[in-house]
Amino acid sequence: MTKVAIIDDEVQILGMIEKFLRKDPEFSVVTYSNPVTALSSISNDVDVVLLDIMMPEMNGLDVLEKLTEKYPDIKIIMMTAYSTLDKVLSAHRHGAVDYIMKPFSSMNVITDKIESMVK
Amino acid sequence: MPLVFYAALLALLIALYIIKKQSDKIRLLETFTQDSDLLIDKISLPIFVKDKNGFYIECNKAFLEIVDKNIKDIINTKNEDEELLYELHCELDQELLTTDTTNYIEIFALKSKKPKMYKFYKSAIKKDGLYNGYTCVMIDITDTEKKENTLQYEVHKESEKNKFILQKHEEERLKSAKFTAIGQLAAGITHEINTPLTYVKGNLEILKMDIEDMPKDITIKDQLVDTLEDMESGVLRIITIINSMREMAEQNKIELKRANVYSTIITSLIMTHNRSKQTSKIYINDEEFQLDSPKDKYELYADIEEQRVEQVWIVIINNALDELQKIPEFRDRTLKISAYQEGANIIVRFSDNGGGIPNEIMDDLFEPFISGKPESGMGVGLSIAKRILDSQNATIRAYNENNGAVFEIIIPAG
Repeated sequence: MTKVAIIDDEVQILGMIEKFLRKDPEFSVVTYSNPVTALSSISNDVDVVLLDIMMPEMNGLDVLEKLTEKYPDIKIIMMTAYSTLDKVLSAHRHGAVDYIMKPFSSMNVITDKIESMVK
Repeated sequence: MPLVFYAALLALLIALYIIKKQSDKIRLLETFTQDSDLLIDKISLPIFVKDKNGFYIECNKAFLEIVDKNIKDIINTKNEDEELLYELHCELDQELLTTDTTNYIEIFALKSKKPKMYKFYKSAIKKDGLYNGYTCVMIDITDTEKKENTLQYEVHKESEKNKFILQKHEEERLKSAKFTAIGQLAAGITHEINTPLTYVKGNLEILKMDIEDMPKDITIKDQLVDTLEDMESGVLRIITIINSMREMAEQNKIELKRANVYSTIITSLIMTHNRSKQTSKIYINDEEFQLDSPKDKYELYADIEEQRVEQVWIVIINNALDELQKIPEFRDRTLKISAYQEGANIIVRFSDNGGGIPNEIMDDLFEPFISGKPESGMGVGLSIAKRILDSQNATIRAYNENNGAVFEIIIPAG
């Protein structure tokens, strides 16, 4: 079982990814629409985090820095709705392992990326 | 008687002496006049003398040459009928009634000759303090004038050019400010539209999966799938347009900086490693890429925008991985990258053995909406890559070789 945490302020996106991942019994999912709540709630049993870059209150890059500081082994996949990779590249320099561009080219990209992390 | 005879003889002698003296004087004068005629003929500048009534009384050879006449045809004539602006000349000559000298520039043109520009220097000849004619020296200033005009033209041209450059700079500045604003606006719009597009597109996909899972005997199942596919293709079009719009705006705020192209390739390989480690081995300059491969092993400097060039490599690497994935065995898949300097250029070549680019899309490969991946591709990656490379003064071409695709990028070395 792979535990996935999704952090995105867009609840429709949270719901959609959760709905998709729950189709596969291999995944357990927790979702957070608030990055601050996510930081205080995520425990070390989470394997992979899907983290949006652009969020109010605290942006994804700050969440990334704090999460990797707290859990150095946690795998973080950044999600971005920007068409260019500038922010993803800086996220990568701060410890993000992979990225997914929004809109996702296919929902299977999410599971492929998660699976490649935990293999 | 003898006294009278002697006196008469003396008077005769004196008269003879006086006559001789006079004739000596005349001879001397004639010689001098001849000499002075020779002298003015030696002067290369056209010279002429006119009496108070405007008749030529003297001129030199140079003048005869330019008017193309014999001296007999000139002397004691006004001969002004062939001079252009004759009336003006006469009017200007009136000045000499009150002043000693005058000068002016005029075009002196004979019908049979090419017009020339002369400066006329005229000095009054006075007799008993009254005007009695004038001497005139003509200086050809056609070339000088031409040079001066050329110089003035050059100065004018230069100042117009500077004005144009300044104007251009100002326009560029305004354009750049405008595009920065458009870029920011486009980035905002892209983000705002991409967010709902994500869940529209994702949910359509999930819905399609759910419908496909429905029992086969449901009659409208195929119809629903068709409808969903139409909706999906519409969404893909919107995504493509949004991405293109963003990229176009991005292009107008280019800041090239000297950077190591080799390092950008390594960064992109690190970025795609999570995928590539399960898809294919990647070799760079004949060595297998590892996460700890040094970024500065080769120094291939060029003026580029690092992050945007990294995006190009990511697009090309991901495309190659997509194709390589179709080969069943991991060990049979290879992506080779070579990066080196050749003369004034840096050459980067990506070669895979994924079967190559289909011939039907080869010509339009870098056009938007062209994709060799009907299921997952949006067909914007390579068109964006090309636009980015264009903005870096680089070129990209693609061809097939050894059962695979080759993408060759040439960047001017910096």
